[in-house]
Formats: sequence, C-alpha cells, structure tokens
Amino acid sequence: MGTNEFEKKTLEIDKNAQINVMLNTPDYTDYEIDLGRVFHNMKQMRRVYAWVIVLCLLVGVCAPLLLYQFSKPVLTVSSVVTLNYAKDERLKAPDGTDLDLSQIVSSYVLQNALADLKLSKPVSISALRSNIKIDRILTDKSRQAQELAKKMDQEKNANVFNQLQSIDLEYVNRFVVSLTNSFDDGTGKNTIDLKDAELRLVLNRVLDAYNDYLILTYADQKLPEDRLSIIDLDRMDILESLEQMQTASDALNNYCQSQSDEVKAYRSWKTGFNLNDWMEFLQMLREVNIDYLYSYVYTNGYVKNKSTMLMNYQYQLRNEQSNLDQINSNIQTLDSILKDYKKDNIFVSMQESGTSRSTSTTTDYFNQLIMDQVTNYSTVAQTETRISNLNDQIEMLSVSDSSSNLANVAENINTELVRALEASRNIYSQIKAHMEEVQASPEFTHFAVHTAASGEQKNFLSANLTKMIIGFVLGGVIGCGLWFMASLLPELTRSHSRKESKKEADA
Amino acid sequence: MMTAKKTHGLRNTLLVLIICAIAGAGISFVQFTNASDRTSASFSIQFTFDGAASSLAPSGKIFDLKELYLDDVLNEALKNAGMENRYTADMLRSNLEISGNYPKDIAAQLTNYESLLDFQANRAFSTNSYYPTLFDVYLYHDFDPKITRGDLEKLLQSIMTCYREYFIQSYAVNTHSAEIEYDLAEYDYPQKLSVLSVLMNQSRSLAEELSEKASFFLVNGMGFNDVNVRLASLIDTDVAQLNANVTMSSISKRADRLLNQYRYEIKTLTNRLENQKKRLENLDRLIASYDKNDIIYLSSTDSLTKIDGNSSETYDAMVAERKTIDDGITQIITRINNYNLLINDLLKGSQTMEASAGEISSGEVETDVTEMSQAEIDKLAEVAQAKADEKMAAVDAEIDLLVKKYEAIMEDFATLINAYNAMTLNDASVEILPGRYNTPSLLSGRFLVMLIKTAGPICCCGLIVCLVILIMQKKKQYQQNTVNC
Repeated sequence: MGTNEFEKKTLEIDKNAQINVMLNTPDYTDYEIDLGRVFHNMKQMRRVYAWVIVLCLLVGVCAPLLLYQFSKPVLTVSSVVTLNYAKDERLKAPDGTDLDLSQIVSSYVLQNALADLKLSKPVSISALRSNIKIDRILTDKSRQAQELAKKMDQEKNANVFNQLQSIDLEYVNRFVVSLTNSFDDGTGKNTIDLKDAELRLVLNRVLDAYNDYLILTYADQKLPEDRLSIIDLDRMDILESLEQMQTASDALNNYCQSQSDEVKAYRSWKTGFNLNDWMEFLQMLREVNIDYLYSYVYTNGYVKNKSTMLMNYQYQLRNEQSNLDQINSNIQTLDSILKDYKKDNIFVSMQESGTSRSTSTTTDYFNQLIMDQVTNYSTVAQTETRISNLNDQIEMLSVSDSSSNLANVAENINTELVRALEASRNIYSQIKAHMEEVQASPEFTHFAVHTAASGEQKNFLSANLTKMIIGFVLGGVIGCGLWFMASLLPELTRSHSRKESKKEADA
Repeated sequence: MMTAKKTHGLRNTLLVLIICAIAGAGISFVQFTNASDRTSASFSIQFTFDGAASSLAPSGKIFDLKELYLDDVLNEALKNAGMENRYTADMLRSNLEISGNYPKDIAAQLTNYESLLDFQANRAFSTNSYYPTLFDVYLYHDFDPKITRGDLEKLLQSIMTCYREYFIQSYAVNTHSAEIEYDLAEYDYPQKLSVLSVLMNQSRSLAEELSEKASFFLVNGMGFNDVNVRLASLIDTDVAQLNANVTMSSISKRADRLLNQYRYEIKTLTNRLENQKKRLENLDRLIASYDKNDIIYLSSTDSLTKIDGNSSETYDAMVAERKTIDDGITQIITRINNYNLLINDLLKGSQTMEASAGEISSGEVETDVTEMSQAEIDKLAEVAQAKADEKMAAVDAEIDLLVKKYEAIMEDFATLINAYNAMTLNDASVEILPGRYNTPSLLSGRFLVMLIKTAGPICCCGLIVCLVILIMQKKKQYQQNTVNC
C-alpha cells in the first residue's frame, strides 16, 4: 500500500456518522455571545470596515465645511463715532441740548448717504434703516451706579427704588454704529447681500452724511454781510458814503466779535492772520481812513448837495424821535406793570417743629419783563445817541458854507474817499475769505468723526475648526461602532438560532 | 484579476475626483467673476510728525485727509499727470476712497466694561479717541474702465504728491502774507506810527505763539523767542520814543485835520457817554426796586427740594449788565481823556509860542477845544503846523529807520519759520509708501481661496461617493469569501 492509499483510507469520512464534541466549559450556555468570536469577526471584516471608518471620518470633517458654505454668518461692520465739539465729553448737541441719535437713520441722512453710490444690488432706505444699530456708551460713573442698583435689586435691597431714582444716566461723547448685511428686498421672502467692501463703504457714507447734517443744523456758517458793494460814490454824497462805510465797518466788527474764541484764534494758512488781527486792521482802517476823512468833511461841511443832505438828516431825526417816543412809552408801561405786579405767595409748614412761614416769589414772566425793561434802556441809549449825533450833523451843515470851498478840495477828498472805500472793500473780502476758510477747515467741520468701518468674518477653516475636530472624533466613533455592530450581528443571529433550536429540541 | 480590479477602481475614483474638481473650478470661476472687487490702484500715506497721533498738524490745527478730494488738489494732479483734458476732478472724486488704519477691535474695546464688583478685573478701560497715522488711498478705474495700469498708477501717484504739497503748504506755519497795502507816505505821522504799531504787534503775537510751541527750535543760535524779544524792544522803545516825539512835539503834516478828527471823536464819545450814564441811572433804579426772593429748601427724609423763582439769575443778569455799562463808560471817559491829551499836545507847540514862561513851566496849558470856534482852532493849527514842519524831516528819517529795522527782523523771522516748516513737514514726515495695483485675476490668492472653498467640498462629496462604492464592493467580496468558506 502506498502512502496515498493509506492517507485515502485514513481520511475517508463516514458521512452518516455522528460526532459528538464535548468542550470542558462547565458554565457555558448555548445562547450567550462569545466576544472572542465577535473580535474574530471584526478581524475578518477589517478590510471592509477600514474604508467605512475612513468614510465616516471624511464625512465628519467635511460636513461642517459644507454646512458653513450654505449658512455663512452675516457680516456686521462697526464704526466708533466721536463728537469732537463736546468739551465735557458728554452726549449733547453742539448747542447743549440733548442729541437725537435717531437722526443717523433719518431719511435725509440715509438718502444723502446713498446718493451717487453705485452698489452691486440696490438697497432701500427702509431696509438700510432696519439694519443699523446704535449703541450709546454710559459714562463709567453711570455704569457703576447702574451695576450697584442691579446688585441691590438682586439682593432684594429695600433702598433699591431710591437708588434707582437718584441715578441720572449720562453717556460719553462716543457711540458705536453697526451695520449688518443681508437686507430685506421688500417682499419679505428674500434678502439682499452686499459685498463686504460695499457694506463698509455704505456705513462710512452714512456717518459722513450724519456729520454733514450736524454741520448744517448746528454750525454757524453765516458769512459777513456786504454793505460796501452798495456804495456808489458817483450817486451818493460824500458824507453819505462815509457814513455807509462807518456802518459797514461797525457791522463787520460786530460780526467778528460775535465769533467764538476758537474761531478768532484760527490762523489762516493763506494769510497767516487770525480774526483778532483782522479786527485790529478794521479798527485801524476806521481811524486812519474813514474817521479821519469823515471828521474833515463833517467839520467843514464838504457836501455836494447841502439841502438834500439836510433833508435826509432831518427825516432820519424825525424817525429816530418817533422810535424814541415809542420806546419811552414802552418803558412807562412796563414800569407801571412791574409796580402793580402781584407775586406768588408760598406758605411753608414744617411738621417736625410745628412752625410755618409765608413768603413770596417772582415768576418767570415777571423776570422776563424785567429783562425786557433792561433791553429797553439799552435801546433808548442807542437811539438818543443817534439823535444827538444827527442834531450835531444838522447844526454843523446848517452853519457851514461848503459849496464855495468844496471845489478846491474836491479832488483830494475824492482821492481819499476812493482809497478809503478800496481799503474797506479789501478788508471785507479778506475777512470773508478768512471765514470761508475757517468754515471749510477740518477744525470746524469735524463735528462727528468716525473710525473706518470694520468687521471681519473668521476664516472659514478657523471658524469651523472645533466642529471639524468634533466631526472627526464622532466619525471615528461611528465608524468603529458600525464595525463592532457588524461583527456582533452574526453572533446575535447565531445565539438566537441556538435558542430556537434548543426550544425545539426541548419540545 | 484582483490587481486589474484595483486599478479599475482607482481609475474610476480618479475620474470622479477630476470631474468634481472641474465642476468646482467652473463654479468658482462664475462666483469669482460675479463677486470680484473693482480694479484699483492704491497708495498709503503715513504721517510721522509730532501730533499726528492726535490728528494735529504742526501748526496745531486738526487735519483731515478728505482734503484730498478738493478741486485744488485734483485739478493740480490732473495737470501734473498730463490728463487734464481726459478727466475731470468730479470723475476722480467719486472713485477715490480713503481708509484709515484703525485697530480692528476698536468698537469692542469701547464697549468693553470691567465690572466694578469684579475685584480681580484688570482696570484697563476703553480706548480713548484714536486717530490713525497711516491711511490707504484707493483710486478705482470705474471712471475709465479702459485706463491702463500705468496711467492709473501715475494718476494716483500724482494725486498723492499734490496732496502732500497741499498739506505741507496749508498745515505749515505761515508768515503774514495778506495783500494789505498801506502806503505810509499817504498818512500823517501819528497814523503812520499807529499802522506800524499794529503790524509789529501782530508779528509779535505770532512770534510769541511759536516760541511757546517750539521753544527748542534754533537756527544759527536764534529762536522764535529772540524774534519776540526784538519785536518787543522795537515796539516798546523805538516806536514809543517816536510816538512821544511826534505827540509831545506836535509834529503833523496836517494838524488841522488831526484836530478836526480828535474834536469829532470827542463830540461823538461825549454824546455816547451822556446816554450811557442815563442808561446806568435807569438800571440802578430798576435794580434797587427789584425784590430778590428768599431761597427755600424743603427737606424730607429722602430728598431736598429747592423752591426758587429764578430771582437770583435775573438779579445777576441785571448786575452783569450794569457792570458792562460801567466798564463801557470808563472806556469812553478814558478815550475822551486821551483825545484831549492829544489835542493839548498838538496845540502845545503853538501855545508855547504865545504863552508866558511861567505858564509853560507850570505846565498849565489846558485847552477845551470843544468850546473853541472853528476860526480859533484854525489859527492854533497854523501855528502848530509851522513848528511841526521844522521837525518833520528828522521824524521821516527815524520812521524810515524803524521800518528798515522791522523788515530786518521779519526777514529773520521768515527764515526761522521756513526752517521750522522744513523740519516738521517734509517728505519723511509725510511719507507716501509704495503703491499696489489690485485687479481680479485668476492667479490671485483670492481666486485660489475661493477655488479651494468651492471645489474642495465638491471633491469631498465625490470622494465620499467613491468610498461608498468601494465599501459596497468590498462588502460584496467579503460576503462571497464567507460563502465560499
């Protein structure tokens, strides 16, 4: 017998034979799951589920990025606005009243902001208004008071109401204006998104328009009146021209005096002079050119048409006298009103001491009447001065015999007159140009300055990094979980079938 | 067979990825084209002079880069670039954008608040006013989409250069250069001295301002304070002496006219004085009759209330008005006295010829010119004129010398100012940094980022699909192997 025949004989299996294998596991029951087998299954399925884990990891990492693409957060840009004119660093208007910040989103301001602005998509004023937010900043003192009151309220402190009443919230002269992208298109269903650069541009333009609004509303942009261009030396008499120059000079001086100290101290970059210097020039012009000539003409009565001048002065005198009579009448009326005026009585009773006292007090109307009377006295003084001057002029003209002497000096007077007028007009134009420069300078047009609109969205990777890490971990866990479950499932099925078989066998 | 299958699988995967990448690139291209920024040239300008961080120019004034939009600057820039016939200032203005470099979190800094009750909080409160010193200026090509890169950059460079020149000129310290012409020869001596005094005092005021601002600044050992001192000496010594000489010696080309002027001024002032006195009397009567109320405070446990009918404010206003009138009256009286002194000085010359020695030595030559007749005044004036003629030549020479001294001081002043301006405002302190040209390009970083952001997820989806197919194939293979076994 050869080896093969022997092997054939030994390896022949009786298919009908029954082989019983007994394992030496005393506590083994047929329906328990063998973890060893589960791990064995896992090992067998490793090639497949390695790819499943890779797939789960990839989905975990990519899902946040994909979601970010579809639901990108809306950009909000902000700008800090500072009110430069507020010396006490409080949120007040330039005239000291409360500042209405809602004007930033007024139609006027927004319309000016959007004028001539080419955007990729049109945005309506109402949509723009809805997306603008203004945050005022409390002063440190107000914030602290508010915080303390809140703490007291939380502690159920009985004095919290009194504390709240004593809090007078104040805001600093800076506030934050924010503009959010994604504007309503008017239908309520869709939104309009501007580019980031456009959003910043729109906010900058809105704040520029608001600054222009403040200048228009509060800045004193009045230029000096031109009372010199109406002087026609050929048509007017000499004295008349000079009086007009005096009036123009006084008006110009009053205009300069009425400006603030800051405006007066502003030194022009074109001329190097400030308004104080120009007022000195004006005074010098008045003395050296105008009054010097005026006194000469006045004293000697050098006029072209004496009778006309006399008639003018007498007419003016009559008008002034009439004004004076009226003001004096007002003064008398007010005097009698003030004398008979009944003041308010106040009765004060003090409970603790049981005493009482009565007194009287003036009303606002009474005080107003007093100040009106003070103004009347001032007007009377000015009118009486003008009357006195007019009387002197009439007297001087009446006694002088100028017509025969005027011819001798007419040429010199005329030369001086022309020189005086030219000098006056020169000073006027210089002052006007100076004020135009002042009113256009950043010194006086920076009511509300703002920082550049800024606001950034995070880089899409850094914005999603946390989610990507969580996704990676979750993907790994899910992948491993699936692998385990797939390996466990056959054992569960087997255990179940064994149970069924045993039941059948027992039955 | 297995190797062939693997190769086939890899090839399919690669094919899917390539298709996804191409699709992603196509979508990115469309998005980039729709959302791309405009073409622009940009330059930066940096201010490094003292005060720039507070938005203050060396002259002490606030500056604003929006002056770059001015017609003066833009027209000059167009002219320098040789494009004044092609474009206008208005076309450029709407395509210029200025942006200052602010801290990105400036709004957050301002709204950040450290609680008072958090004792461990770092008490660094919000940022105060911040002014940038570096600005970016952009010029977009929308005014002429066909403009070449070179022309756009040249135009913006020209604008920046012109703006710098404008800035240096307008924010430097300027000497007095207004067109105010006073021909001294046309005026009488007191008027000449008055004009010179005003001019010198104004120059002195400017020198004083500058010496306070730049006390350290010296050129050849001379500073602004030296100019101030020289001008003060000129005014207090030379001008004062000349004034004394002219006034006390009654030197005048036209004494009659001066007399007329002083007489006229006195008359006018006297009228005003009388009426102001009447006004003062009326106001005094009103104040005396005004009953100022008591101020009452009502006190309770929680509050203190003041009851006052504002009588204090009204009373104070009246008293303030009274003080103003009183001060005005004092000024008028002073001026009248000054004019009287001038008249007396003017006439003293003539009167000394007629008065006795005793009257002269006692100094009693008072004259009430308002009571004199015109003929008397004219006679006195003639005498004064004759005396004055003798001294005029000498005074003319002294005034000429005074003017020369003043001009010499002003020359040194101008040199100092120019040197100061050159030190504070120059190409280094107002520096224009190299420019950039920004245009949407497929090779730009922006497009690449957009490509990655768009094509990346699409490729990932393709890869996921490929993986799913692979897994299904692997599972099928595994099941087949299991059955065979």
